[in-house]
Amino acid sequence: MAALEGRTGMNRRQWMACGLAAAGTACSRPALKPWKRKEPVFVLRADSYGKELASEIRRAVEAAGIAVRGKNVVLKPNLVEFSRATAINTHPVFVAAVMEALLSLGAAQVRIGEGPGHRRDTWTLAEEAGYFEAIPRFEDLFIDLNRDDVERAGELGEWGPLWAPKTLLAADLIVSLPKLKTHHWAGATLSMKNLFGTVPGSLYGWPKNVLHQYGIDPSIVKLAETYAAKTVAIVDGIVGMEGDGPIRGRPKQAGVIVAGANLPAVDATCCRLMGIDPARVRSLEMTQHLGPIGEPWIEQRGERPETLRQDFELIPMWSYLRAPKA
Amino acid sequence: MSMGNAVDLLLARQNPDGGFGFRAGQSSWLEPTAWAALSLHGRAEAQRALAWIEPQQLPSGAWPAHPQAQRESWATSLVVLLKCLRGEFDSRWKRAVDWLAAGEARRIPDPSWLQRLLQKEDTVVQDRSLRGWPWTPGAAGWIEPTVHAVRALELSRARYTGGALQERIETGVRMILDRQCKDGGWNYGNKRVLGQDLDSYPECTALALIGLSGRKGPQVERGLARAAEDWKRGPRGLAHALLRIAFRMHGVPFDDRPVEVNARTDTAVLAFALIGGPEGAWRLWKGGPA
Repeated sequence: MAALEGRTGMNRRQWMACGLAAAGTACSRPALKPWKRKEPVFVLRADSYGKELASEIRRAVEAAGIAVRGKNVVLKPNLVEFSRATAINTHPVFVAAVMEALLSLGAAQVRIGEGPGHRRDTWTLAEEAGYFEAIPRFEDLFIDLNRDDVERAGELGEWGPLWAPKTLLAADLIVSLPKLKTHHWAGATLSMKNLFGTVPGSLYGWPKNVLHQYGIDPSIVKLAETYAAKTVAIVDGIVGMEGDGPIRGRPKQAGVIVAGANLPAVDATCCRLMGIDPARVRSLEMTQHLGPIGEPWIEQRGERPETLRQDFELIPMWSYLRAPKA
Repeated sequence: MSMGNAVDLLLARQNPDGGFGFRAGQSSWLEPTAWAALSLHGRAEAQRALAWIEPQQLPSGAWPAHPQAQRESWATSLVVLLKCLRGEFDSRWKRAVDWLAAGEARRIPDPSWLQRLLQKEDTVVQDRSLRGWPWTPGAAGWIEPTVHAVRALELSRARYTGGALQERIETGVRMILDRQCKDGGWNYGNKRVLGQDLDSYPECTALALIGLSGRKGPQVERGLARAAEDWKRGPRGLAHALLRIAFRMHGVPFDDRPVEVNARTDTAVLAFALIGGPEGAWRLWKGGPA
């Protein structure tokens, strides 16, 4: 505990408080809502960003029942920070492999779009993060979603319209490519939280503080509602991040790829792989109208999540998210 | 690439309506148009850019970031800056300064008694009374919009008769100083979160120093020292372009090198590359003679 106190700045009193919160939450676990059918989610063991990655991802896409033939696709990685030495960003080799896999499955066009939340200089960020190096013709394929032209896509209450990049609204299919990470404000950041990068900084700034003012969890729900109908997910869980994510956490060798066409089902599966109870993640509980998070309504294909579960370290304020061992 | 090429790239991006997009072929947005106009100050293209901007002013006095999004934006500061440089202290300028002076970021709620009891320090460490300016009205304050508001109000102060700007300017400056990271630089505006000191970003350090132009003191010195360290690491793109401007505004000698630009370079970076040249418009932005 002392080591974790040092890393998180939390003290013994906070640990006690978190323990009380955990006890309280355990007694009031939100209900899992039934879903109209079983949603398939494929879990694949993948230990490295090696040469076989594209074929492995192709297998995952097929097994998850994701249809791409003839579609104009935009990949939405999680590109946050300049450094390529850590596990903050979706690995550029992973993005390249997804692109190769989708083209081999008949996608008409595959582009990449991202709107980083803190760093203004998207192109230099992408270059420093290794995207130019790893992804053929990256500069022809990339759209800076922070600076794309926009269309109205919804409402954010008192904050006015939700504006969205035209490129995403025109796409046939969006593929959310999150990194498997814990998140210090949201508990976990997965395929739906990754949609924060679709919100244009040109209108909302760096950071996109309106989303925090509207509420992180309600914003996740709003963005999921906006995009879920044409968004699928392929999660880079080969090396994830634990602890004080999404930036200052520690790399975690999780060795998995998760794919599926239903975002809540994918994110719930990712939570189980991280040792997190998805029902206790507020944003997941709130998106059950978009998909299931309960095991009875998720058809787990490939590896069983419980066999690959690795408990990601949680900062004390999120310790109550920990799922009990089976 | 030479500055001449940066000018050519920039000029080729001007839309028929006079505005600029963030990239070639994009619809006109306020931010890139304003930076392009500053970098081309004195040229006919700058006049055309201003002619696109001016009529978009909202009844509140602010400008929207894009004509489609009819809502007040932080980039109003950039229009005030441009109008000051052109000596256009007219009713549009006055209404915009009124709006800027009245605007203030949302105060982050103080910790509850329970949080105070349980936490050894705030979740986000900052002086919550120093609100600065937000990106969007009603949100929290951040470094970049505060920097631009401070510069715009500094340049407006001598001609503004609608009230005392000095207090607003000084509050903005204190907010910038309060958000200085432990390493001496700045990031977007959070120096310490959840018990962790956060790292600065070179582009934000440069912006903060631009906001502190004309100021002295140990914190400014620490900021300049951090900027010098960042410069040694060979920053590129936006950070490179903004650090040159910051050094020049503070009169700090540095080993200048031109900003690398190409066809995909963001319009603002193209403009900053020109503004930060030895004879660039940084002097105007600082408030000195052309």
